[in-house]
Amino acid sequence: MRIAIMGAGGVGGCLGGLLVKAGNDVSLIARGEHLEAIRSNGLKLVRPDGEFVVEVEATDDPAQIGPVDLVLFTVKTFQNHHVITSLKPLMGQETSVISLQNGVESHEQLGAVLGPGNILPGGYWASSHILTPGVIVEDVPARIFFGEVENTESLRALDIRKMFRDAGIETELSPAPLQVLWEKFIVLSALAGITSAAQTRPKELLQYPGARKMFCDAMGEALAVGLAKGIELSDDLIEENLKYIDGLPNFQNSMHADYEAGRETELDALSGAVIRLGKQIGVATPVHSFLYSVLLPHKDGVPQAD
Amino acid sequence: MRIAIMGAGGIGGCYGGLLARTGNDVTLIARGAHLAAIKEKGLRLVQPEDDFTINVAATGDPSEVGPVDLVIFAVKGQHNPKAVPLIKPLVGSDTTVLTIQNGVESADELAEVYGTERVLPGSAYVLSNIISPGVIRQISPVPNVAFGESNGDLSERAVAIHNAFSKAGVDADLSDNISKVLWSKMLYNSPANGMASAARLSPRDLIEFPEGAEMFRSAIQEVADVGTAFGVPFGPEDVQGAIDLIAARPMGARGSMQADLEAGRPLELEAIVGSIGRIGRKVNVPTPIFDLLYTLLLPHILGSSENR
Repeated sequence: MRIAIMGAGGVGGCLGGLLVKAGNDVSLIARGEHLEAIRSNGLKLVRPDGEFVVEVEATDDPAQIGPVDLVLFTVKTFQNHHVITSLKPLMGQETSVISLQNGVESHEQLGAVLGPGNILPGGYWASSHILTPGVIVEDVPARIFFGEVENTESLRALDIRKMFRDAGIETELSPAPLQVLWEKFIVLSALAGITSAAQTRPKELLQYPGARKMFCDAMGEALAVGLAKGIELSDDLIEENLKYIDGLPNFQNSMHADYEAGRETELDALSGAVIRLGKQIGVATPVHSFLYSVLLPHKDGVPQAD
Repeated sequence: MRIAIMGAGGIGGCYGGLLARTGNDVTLIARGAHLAAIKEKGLRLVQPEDDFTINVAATGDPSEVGPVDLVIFAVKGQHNPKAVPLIKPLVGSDTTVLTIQNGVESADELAEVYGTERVLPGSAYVLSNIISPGVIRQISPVPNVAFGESNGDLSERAVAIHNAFSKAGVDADLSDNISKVLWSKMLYNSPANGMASAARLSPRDLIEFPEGAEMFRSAIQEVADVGTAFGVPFGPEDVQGAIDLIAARPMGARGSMQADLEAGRPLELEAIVGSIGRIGRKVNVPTPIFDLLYTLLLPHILGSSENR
């Protein structure tokens, strides 16, 4: 299968490395020093069970690749606005595009430009990042899920799942990918918002009863928005998520890390999306609105001297 | 007048230095390196137009001082559990305790121990900091203080204190409605400090964002609603006035609590933010924004571990 990966960062680079290793024809789309390093030294993956280097085609220009069978869309959400149109040269008669991003709006944003029928919504659970240009570290093996919007089982989806699984990537073909995406979104938007605004990691923050309530209220807002949009979601999610986060070891949410490091954040795809979608459908989101107002000034990060 | 300044930091030290220079018998109550420096070299007050050093009595132990005419209570609110009982030796039958702490709860806290009749509620309006042990930098051109009897009376003692401040070059406002004065300060100071701390951005910079401005308005409205229910009525023009005050601040000028947060110092969170929710619950007014501000800042109330 001919595959293009838009965004060769933590998630895209990791999937790309594994897919190349399994013999697929992969092109990475990356930028700057990372791109240069991949071109001259290959892509190095450092995984819990060992490390390897693969040679892989890499470019910053999708037009040089031409039509492919599958596009994996793995850039950070704040790049969507600039990047989606540039994917057009990758689209052929039967090209599928899987969105693997945070948030719940990616598949619609992609569909509007590339045709809704070509998009398979997906998501991931991963902890990986670019260590140095050309080198990606994966702390926990990535798991991905995707599926057809219309909850149908398609041959193209089965083929893609097989390809991922053959490459050793834990993959779930979801009959209801939007539901899974929302379930992740509900906990992530709340956690990213409260830990960033408090500048405190979940382990410490959630010791405070007030913070637990704020976390649950924020999740409740996103849940109410999802339900109003017709997504099938259980009320038990909030209690389950609280238990799940309590059970995790000390970790830092990625938006909090980006904020702390002065990098651009995914605020618009998280709290911003809860507020936006809530407004559209008439659901009040006071906690996310508050979090958004204090995080907005830092959304674009601190200008870096290049 | 015999005066003891409980808490000779930026504000207490500034008033103390000025009152001592104009013939009052002043004792500063301070701690640590600051106390040692004042004892050794006197207190230096660097003002915009003046810079003087004055030899002034200073101690860490109020029992060495004994009863005075006036105690100016100027420690940060988080020190009250220790500082309130500590001034006992300073308080005799004719002593007045003037509190200039942030918030609106300080006078009640002191009155519980020393009696309502001894306490004068007040408020300080001066930008002033310790820049080095024994050295205080007054940034505001003219320090300002407002105070008055809780019942609005123009008492003899209040007039005497007013005269002492005026003689010392402090712009003193003897108010017949001190509650309104204190709440009016809360109306802009609590939202400005709370929001700026949560956003890690100066109030003026934050209010430039439409979302920030909207949240400021809602936060100010919360304080106005709590104040009104508490018996200090505020109207729409007061809310707008508080917004205008924030919008008129210089860009980049941080609030005191925001500065403390960024420096990892303990926060006056209870007096500035927590009090709104606390009083709101007493008068049955919901305070969702202040509850969120309190929740987000609570992990930092003691400062960073290296400053504790």
